[in-house]
Amino acid sequence: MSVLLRVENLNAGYVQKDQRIIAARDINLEVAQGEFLGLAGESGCGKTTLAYAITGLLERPGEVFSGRVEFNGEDLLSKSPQEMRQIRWKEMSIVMQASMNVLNPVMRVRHQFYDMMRAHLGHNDTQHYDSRVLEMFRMVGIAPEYLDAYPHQLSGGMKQRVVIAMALALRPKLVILDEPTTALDVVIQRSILQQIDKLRRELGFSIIMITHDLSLLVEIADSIAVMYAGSIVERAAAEELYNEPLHPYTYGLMNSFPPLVGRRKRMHGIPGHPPDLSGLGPGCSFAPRCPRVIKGLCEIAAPPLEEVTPNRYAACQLYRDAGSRTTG
Amino acid sequence: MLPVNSIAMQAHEQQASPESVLEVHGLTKEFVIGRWGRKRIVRAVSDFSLTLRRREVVALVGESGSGKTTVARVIGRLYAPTAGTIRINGEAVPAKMNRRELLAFRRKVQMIFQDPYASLNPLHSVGYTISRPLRIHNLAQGDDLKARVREILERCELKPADLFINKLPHELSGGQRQRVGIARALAVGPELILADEPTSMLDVSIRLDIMNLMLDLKDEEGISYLFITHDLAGAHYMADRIAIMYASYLVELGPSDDVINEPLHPYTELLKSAAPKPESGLKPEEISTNYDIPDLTNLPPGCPFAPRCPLAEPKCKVVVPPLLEVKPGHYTRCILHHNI
Ligand SMILES: Nc1ncnc2c1ncn2[C@@H]1O[C@H](COP(=O)(O)OP(=O)(O)OP(=O)(O)O)[C@@H](O)[C@H]1O
Ligand SMILES: Nc1ncnc2c1ncn2[C@@H]1O[C@H](COP(=O)(O)OP(=O)(O)OP(=O)(O)O)[C@@H](O)[C@H]1O
Ligand SMILES: [Mg+2]
Ligand SMILES: [Mg+2]
Repeated sequence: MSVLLRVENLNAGYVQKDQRIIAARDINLEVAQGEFLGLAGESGCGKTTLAYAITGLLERPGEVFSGRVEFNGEDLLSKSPQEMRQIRWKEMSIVMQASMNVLNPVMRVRHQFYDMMRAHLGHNDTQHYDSRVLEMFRMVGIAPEYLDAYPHQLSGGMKQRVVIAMALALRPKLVILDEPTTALDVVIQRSILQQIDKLRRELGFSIIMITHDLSLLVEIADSIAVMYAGSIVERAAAEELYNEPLHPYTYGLMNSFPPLVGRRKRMHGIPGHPPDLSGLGPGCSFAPRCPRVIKGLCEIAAPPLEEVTPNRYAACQLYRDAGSRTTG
Repeated sequence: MLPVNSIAMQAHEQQASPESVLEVHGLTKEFVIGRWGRKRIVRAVSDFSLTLRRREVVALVGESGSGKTTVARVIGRLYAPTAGTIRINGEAVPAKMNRRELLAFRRKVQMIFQDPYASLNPLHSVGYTISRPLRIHNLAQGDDLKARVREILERCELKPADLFINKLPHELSGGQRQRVGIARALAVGPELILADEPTSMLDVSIRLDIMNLMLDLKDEEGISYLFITHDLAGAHYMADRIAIMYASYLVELGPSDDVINEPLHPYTELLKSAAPKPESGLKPEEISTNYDIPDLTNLPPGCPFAPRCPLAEPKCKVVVPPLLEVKPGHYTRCILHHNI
């Protein structure tokens, strides 16, 4: 299948007092047409920064330091803000993590849809708009009575669903969802994701879904990239990642889920805390917390993301053969 | 405005006792939405009763839009109730409070807001946000204040604290903001915390740490929590009891193990079947996406879940069932379990 989005050696982050904080480091990523890619990782590891860098939404002090983002054959980083505005919603849309907060508070929901559609469709057929909006409302499970509500009259999850509806309304080629379901109950979450997935299969668009919730991703994504401290540390097909996580960080994540049924017992997360992105050392950034750390090696050299078995990538000394270890 | 459902009164648990931090009785909240001439009344919360004991965690789980945030906001004095009473430590919360009374109330009752992007002042640094309530309530000054702020941040997994203390909200990720909101609520050592989806943006590992912190403080300082969440496994982990809401109604309430392992209400069953179960394999069963969306401006006469319920019988569609105790401490608003 052809590649829709290609990210090459991307470095992005924030400038603070002349110092660069790299929150997305050496990112290489490909998303095929129709692919559902999941991006998981700890709070603060750089997921949103990466999404903003791809969509041209990173604002000062945020900055893309280097690299390339190619979308649909075009170089996105060389586009002007106006050109990006034309692409956003229509070709590529993003449901931001702050989605509950991106709706205009003094405008009825219906008119926010109208504005977006008018800007991109070039006609003013409100009947056509209404039918599309109602179709989207139905899909995200909001009663039509709320079409004329103001955002503050909606619950947290309803606002989130309105933004999901907006992101899908113009049927873009790529939809980026940044923690889209944090305010949704599991039934509505599953129902929406099921329907988005069905739509994706019909229309063939691609999805990047960012979430901290690995258990959700293993169920719905085709492939998963796991980030830690700004870098992608593992990439695999969802099923393989679930069956056999390679990177010790992924392994730790998979084992911190409290079980749903059975009796309650006290559990603990991965010991330690993520590193300060402004002061990363030369070694693997997970080494200080890693139960399988190889002393004298992991703290010294950061392993690159390499293919371990066909189509399975990990950035970990455990999976490098002896030859590349000494030379790398 | 609302006829008090006499059977529902029986469902109300024990009488006022000094050991209960919070008693909510018959709470109803209505809003008006829509354009002029097409105005409609939204019943966001209907006849909600709940007692929270000291050192108790009750998780409030339910459908998006079912009224959970509204319950917390009415208890936290951000909305006035349409009907019903609220007692804190056995004392009725007055309809109007002066500044001093409100301050005393906030010392006892703190909220963690659902949206971490809207609830932090964009101009205030993390350090200021946490130290302000400590100063207002005269809990610490000078160097002691600084040390307290650091300690709270680190306990909320914002480590090292010095890295975060001078940051502004826009310099934080979603999950970091959420932890600042938690730290702010914990700072004054309240008796009751109304936590509205406090960990929704945190990965499992940090989420466990934060939940453990909240449990430790419960034991050490005697804090009680109303813990709103969509994460059933998290609710089971944190809470002594779980309350389930659907379309403005409390439909099930009981000990956590019982609600999760032997749910009574068909909506709770549905929630359970849709929850991700990382311990039991990949592809979950498909759920039906073809159902009637509950419309709070126009609820059907009977059980609010009946239009979607696989077990619904004609008698379900006549009156809203009361919330009745069917097993010790385990209540449900489903007549299929009421032997009447
Ligand atoms: N404007 C800014 N200035 C400085 N640092 C920032 C800024 N915005 C974000 N950061 C930092 O960059 C890092 C990555 O943030 P990002 O929002 O990308 O994380 P994330 O993976 O999306 O986390 P979460 O899951 O909590 O949303 C964080 O440590 C954050 O504190
Ligand atoms: N200020 C308001 N004005 C009008 N309607 C409101 C207002 N606040 C809430 N509502 C309505 O009340 C109902 C319950 O909202 P609430 O925010 O309590 O739901 P929730 O259970 O917290 O949902 P979520 O899980 O999505 O956050 C919704 O239908 C919402 O539209
Ligand atoms: Mg984020
Ligand atoms: Mg809410």
